[in-house]
Amino acid sequence: MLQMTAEQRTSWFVKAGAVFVLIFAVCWAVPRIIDAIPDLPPQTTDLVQQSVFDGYFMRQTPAVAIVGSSLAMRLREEYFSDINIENVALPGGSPLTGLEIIERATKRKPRVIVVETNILSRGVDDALVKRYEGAGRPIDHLRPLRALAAYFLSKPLRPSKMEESARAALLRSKPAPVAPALQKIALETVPEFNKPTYDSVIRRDAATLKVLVDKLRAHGVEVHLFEMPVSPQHGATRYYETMRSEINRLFSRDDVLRLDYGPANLHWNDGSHLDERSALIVSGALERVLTTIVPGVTKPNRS
Amino acid sequence: MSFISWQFAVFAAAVFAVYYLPIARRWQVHILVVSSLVFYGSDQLDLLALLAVAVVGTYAFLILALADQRVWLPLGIVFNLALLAFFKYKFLFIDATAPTLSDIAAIDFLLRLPLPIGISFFVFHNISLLVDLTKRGGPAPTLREVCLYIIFFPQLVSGPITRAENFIPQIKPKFIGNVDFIESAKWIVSGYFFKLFVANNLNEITTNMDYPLFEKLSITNRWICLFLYSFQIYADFFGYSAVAVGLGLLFGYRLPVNFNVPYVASSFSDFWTRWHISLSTWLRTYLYIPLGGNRLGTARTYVNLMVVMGLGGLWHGAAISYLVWGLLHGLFLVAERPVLSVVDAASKNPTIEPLLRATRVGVVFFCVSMAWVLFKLPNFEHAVSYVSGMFIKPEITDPYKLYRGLALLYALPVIIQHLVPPYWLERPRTVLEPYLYGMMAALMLIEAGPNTSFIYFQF
Repeated sequence: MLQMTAEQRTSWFVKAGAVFVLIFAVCWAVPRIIDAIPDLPPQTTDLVQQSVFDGYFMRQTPAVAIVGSSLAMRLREEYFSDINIENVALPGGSPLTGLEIIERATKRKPRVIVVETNILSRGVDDALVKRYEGAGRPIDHLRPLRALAAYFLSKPLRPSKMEESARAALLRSKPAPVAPALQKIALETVPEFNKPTYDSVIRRDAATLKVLVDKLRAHGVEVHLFEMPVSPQHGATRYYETMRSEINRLFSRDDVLRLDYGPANLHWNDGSHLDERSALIVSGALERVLTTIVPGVTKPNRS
Repeated sequence: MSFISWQFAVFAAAVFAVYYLPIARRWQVHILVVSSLVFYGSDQLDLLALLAVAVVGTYAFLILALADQRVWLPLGIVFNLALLAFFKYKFLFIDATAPTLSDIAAIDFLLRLPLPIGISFFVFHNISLLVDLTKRGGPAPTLREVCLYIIFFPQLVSGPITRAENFIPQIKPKFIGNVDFIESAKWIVSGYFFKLFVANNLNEITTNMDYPLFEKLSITNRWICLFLYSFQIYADFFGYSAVAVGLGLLFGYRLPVNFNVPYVASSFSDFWTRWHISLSTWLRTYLYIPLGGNRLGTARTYVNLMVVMGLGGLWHGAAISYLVWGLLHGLFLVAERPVLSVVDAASKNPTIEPLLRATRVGVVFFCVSMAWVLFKLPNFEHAVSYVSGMFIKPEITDPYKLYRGLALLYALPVIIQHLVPPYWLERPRTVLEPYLYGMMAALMLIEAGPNTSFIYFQF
């Protein structure tokens, strides 16, 4: 046990408290002074979801935003050549959450939103939506070690456009073998997606989608729907048939983008998630459609 | 109520404020007992009755055993072990999701009850109480003293397992002037720092050891994650224990220290004097020594070690992986026993001592870390798959990227704590100490990892 006088004990706590308050004050103040603090990609799904929209609200509002799930997340910004686009699809999440966050934000609504409609059974993540209500600057404090690590790793805040040579090499590449565990997941998903239990949930989410799309259109945002290509086995499941039926019922043909991949041979890691080469092909198809129907959505020069 | 929730902070502050009021002095034990019941009931209100049965039942057996220990002491021990066995292992034999488990409503109700939080710990407290006080003889403590010993909230759900002969003599009026606030603050800040900053952040990374995520880990990253998990489980459990010790001090009770830099152990027997010290002490006192310890010959000693460690593994959970983990440690202890004296003798040579010690520490750390795979992956098949991927290159598309620099930063407190001798730079450390703890307190909040429950809560 320490043998200290009362003054020494008080002094100990005063010193500790002063350092505590000082560090807190600095970490609170820094994000309010310095723009765009470097950050590392997180390691878990939940933090990935937060990071997606943290970054969205930190950066300039894009002309086009993609909302969806981990399927659409494969369409990386660097795959798009000329379009000013940001992908805010949420891995493990729902397009409805992304739409709700953007709809409720007081600013930073893009001109165009494209919505992946594959996964319409997860509802809205209210906790995540609440985090960004009235979104301005969602970073409440600096995380010094993560920022330091990110700084030294020199991770760019926003990926640069893919070089043509890299693009050509990726298009020429052969698909990588699928890991047995992922093959197993792919096989297990098909019977799961054929269960009738999803029908009512899909109808509920499709109705919510309609409401959100109408609200965003009332704000002057152009909203289009599209379906990410999946393997024929997955695409033929009851889940997908129900989803398409609801989309056709609630939306007009003009609301849905038809992507033309040409005679491309697409590959999936697990039946649902495209590999990199296939994601590049589908990104190209999406870009062609968007530049046709939405003029003036090309990228500014990157600094 | 988790130690890392704001509700717990409010609760502890409120109890502390009332506890030291002069008018409350004669009610201090009652205050702690009631608040411990509130603490336990906040998570499992329907299991308060079980806690009451365990405590009152044990007290009844204690009274009877003080009169006739030959009959009532074994029965009291069996009563507690039966409670533990029933609640911990019943789900191995029944399917809780089945519509009916028994034709008798009361039994059906009992079979569906969840695993009571802390049962592994308070049952061991009960047994310690029965054995220690029966051996000591003399008058029985009061029911409220026994209640406090068993359910004192800092140690109720995850220990340290305190011996009755160490705790009960501490039950007397407490005065705020006697509280060492600095020591208490140091324990509490250290505990939360290791939990929130170290363990929770490392958990972000070691989550990728779960199935099927580990399928995307390269060989090197599997090894790195393995060692990170070793640091994580230490930080998590040390963190909890440190908070418990600090809280105990605030209320005037000194709980036993549960860890002593275990990863610098130079032998497996040394490891078990440094890791979860209260459990290993309990196992040695109440199981190993009564079985004969090392007094009945070499073969019997080996059997005793395997039995004690196997049961120690099963104590952690009702799964084959925990049994295997315990038996592995038993095997480590058995394997080193014949050579320990030779190695210890060789270590006296100053020329080779540093290298030999480093090798010994490395071997022990390596083996202990490998065994932790069974904690992280209780499904045996997954554990085998993970370990095989540490030696045979797995086929991976889109491998997971590990930020090694960041992982090292988060693991650094564990490494520093283990490698820096306590006497090193003692004077500067004394001067810098308050600033260091202030920094730790800030970092544990600012740079806290995503919230996860304490690993040992599940036991």
